Amino acid sequence: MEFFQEFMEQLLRIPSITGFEEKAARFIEEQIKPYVDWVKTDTLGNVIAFKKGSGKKKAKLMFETHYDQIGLMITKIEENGILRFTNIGGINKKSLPGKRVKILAKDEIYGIIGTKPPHLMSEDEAKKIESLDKLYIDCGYGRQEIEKLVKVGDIAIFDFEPTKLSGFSYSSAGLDDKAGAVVVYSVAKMLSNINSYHDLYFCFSVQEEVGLRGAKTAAYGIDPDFSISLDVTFGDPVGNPLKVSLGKGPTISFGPGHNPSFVRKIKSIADREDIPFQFEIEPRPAGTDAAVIQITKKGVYTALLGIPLRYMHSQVEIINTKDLYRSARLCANIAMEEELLRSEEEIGNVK
Amino acid sequence: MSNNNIQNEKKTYNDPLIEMLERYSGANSGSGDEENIVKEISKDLKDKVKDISRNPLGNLIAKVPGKSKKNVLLTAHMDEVCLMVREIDENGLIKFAPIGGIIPKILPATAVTIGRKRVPGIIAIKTLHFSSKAELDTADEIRDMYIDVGASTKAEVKGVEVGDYIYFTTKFTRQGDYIFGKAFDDRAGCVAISEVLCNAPYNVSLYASYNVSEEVGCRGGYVSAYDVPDLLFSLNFEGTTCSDREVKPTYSPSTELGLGPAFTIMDNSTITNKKLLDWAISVARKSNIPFQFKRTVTGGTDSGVISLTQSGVPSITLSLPVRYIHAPWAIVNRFDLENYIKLAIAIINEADSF
Repeated sequence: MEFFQEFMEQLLRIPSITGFEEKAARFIEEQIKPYVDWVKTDTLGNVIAFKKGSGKKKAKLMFETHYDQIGLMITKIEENGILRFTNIGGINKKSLPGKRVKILAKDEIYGIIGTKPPHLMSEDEAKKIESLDKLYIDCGYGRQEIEKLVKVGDIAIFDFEPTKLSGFSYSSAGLDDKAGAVVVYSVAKMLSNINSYHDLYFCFSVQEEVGLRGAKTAAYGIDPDFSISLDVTFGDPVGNPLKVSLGKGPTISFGPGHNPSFVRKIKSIADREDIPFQFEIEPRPAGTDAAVIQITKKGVYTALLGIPLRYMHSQVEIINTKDLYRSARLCANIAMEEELLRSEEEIGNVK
Repeated sequence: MSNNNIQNEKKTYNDPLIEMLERYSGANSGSGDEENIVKEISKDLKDKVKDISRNPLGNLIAKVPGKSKKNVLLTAHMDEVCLMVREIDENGLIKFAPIGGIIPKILPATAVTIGRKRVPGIIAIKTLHFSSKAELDTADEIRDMYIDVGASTKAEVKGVEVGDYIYFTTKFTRQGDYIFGKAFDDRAGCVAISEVLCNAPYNVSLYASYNVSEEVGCRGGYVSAYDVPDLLFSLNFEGTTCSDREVKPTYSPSTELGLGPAFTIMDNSTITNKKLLDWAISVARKSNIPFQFKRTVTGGTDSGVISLTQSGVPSITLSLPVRYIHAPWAIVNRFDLENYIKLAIAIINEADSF
């Protein structure tokens, strides 16, 4: 964890709500710069870093993650000063009642998502989870005061302190997918003193949470031959449809969204390097940036590594930092491999 | 309703008061586990009050003699609503039970601190992506919730025992005139008593009881007035509901933030002694301190059980309005807090005229 602790803790504290990622972009640029040949931010806000390779048959290999996170946007200031809001990305409405948010206005303003006191709440009200349009944010202030501080269109973020939990577990809002950003940054850092065979692109995409938008233009601009996306996957201990858990390594995704030869090559590298991993079956390409990268230009050899995460899209997401380090080590090993596809013959021999 | 003079009232901020509220609010003390707050209060009283003791339940009792032997009983409760560890399961997930009135739907995705070793954890929330619409529309019951400390097995859960108290991890914050934090019900009341005691002596004698276990049925309150001699009346300090943010023109909120402290006329536990209420109102008016009335009758306080102690005690409750009471994040107003203390001191100063 020490390898990326400072980067991770700082990045988690910089809000990067979908569409408003700029501050985090500056931070990532600055942090990755020492390890690459150049870094730039494209029109949409994707941060792209490049490290030149020297191999004879070198390919363009991209490591991709998104760095936007879900949030809220203020939609109305009511007569009494309370604020109405809507969601940016998939918000779980069960995570809202009674929580504190931080409105990123001219200054940071705290507010509570209001609830009725238990003493005055009917049984029906207690059972019902209200939709977002019924909820409000209370910053304390009345209308006159709040109008000077907050305006419609301002964004808000869950106020949650990144917290180290038991063992290697770590909890924060925004780990989806700053966990991926930590991995991609770590890959660049691990390879900084090594001559690369392939041309390496480190891509931090915007606007994944509203429809995989940043990755689409980033992949077009880079035009990679191979791409590995890093995103979080379900590691919940209860009710999880996947057989994936925290602390057992990243998942390697199998399914039509990913090139089978490339994926099996990655699996063989993980086996060879003794890096623990888990399987994830994805019967239909969807839900991650890999799905749009695959169909860019003439087509891309894609793969997806999943970082197991509990309570996705809440302010209390949990990951295991060992899984991040293992993901980065796997990626760094892939980057040093000359041949990125497993031959048909080899595939036939896979147990 | 009395909100005269609010506009003219000069807002002088008494920082030591806020500092005391911050310390009291942060001293995690659930019903039956009040030792943290006892320590904080004792620190503030040790140089000023000679006679400090505990009773068998744990109430912290401070006596300050005055010119007259007649006693005024001051009460507030030290405990806050919280949770308790019920079971640590094989997967390292912690099941819990509520202590005091907590609405289950505010719990998922809340940061908590467990036990004396202050182990950090979070109350889990079923992931959006595999929740059905019905599940998203309906609040979970506490028996279906669990706390996650990041462990995957029972052995990995270190420093947590069955029976440990669990507290909300809340950072006390000031924002303009508003104070954000937890447990203002009833640490605000504890602050009021400590302030009153630190401003002693008065004409009357004071018998202050910081009570335990109010949130689970006024346990400390039952025994707090039993052995008070020459009891003139009882003044109970509370944090009370404040539901002034609902946008409903026909709805009367229980109290409103910024209108000053609230007198209770009637709640589920007591109908305030009319003579005492009228007298207290006259003191507030005479002292030019804004106040309001609590306008809902739900809930009860130590005042109810105290009024039925001995052969009956005239009792009144003075409350600080608390928005989002019994939740991880509450809001109180500095102006209300200052007037709460001022009114408390004014009432004690005038007590011999009752």
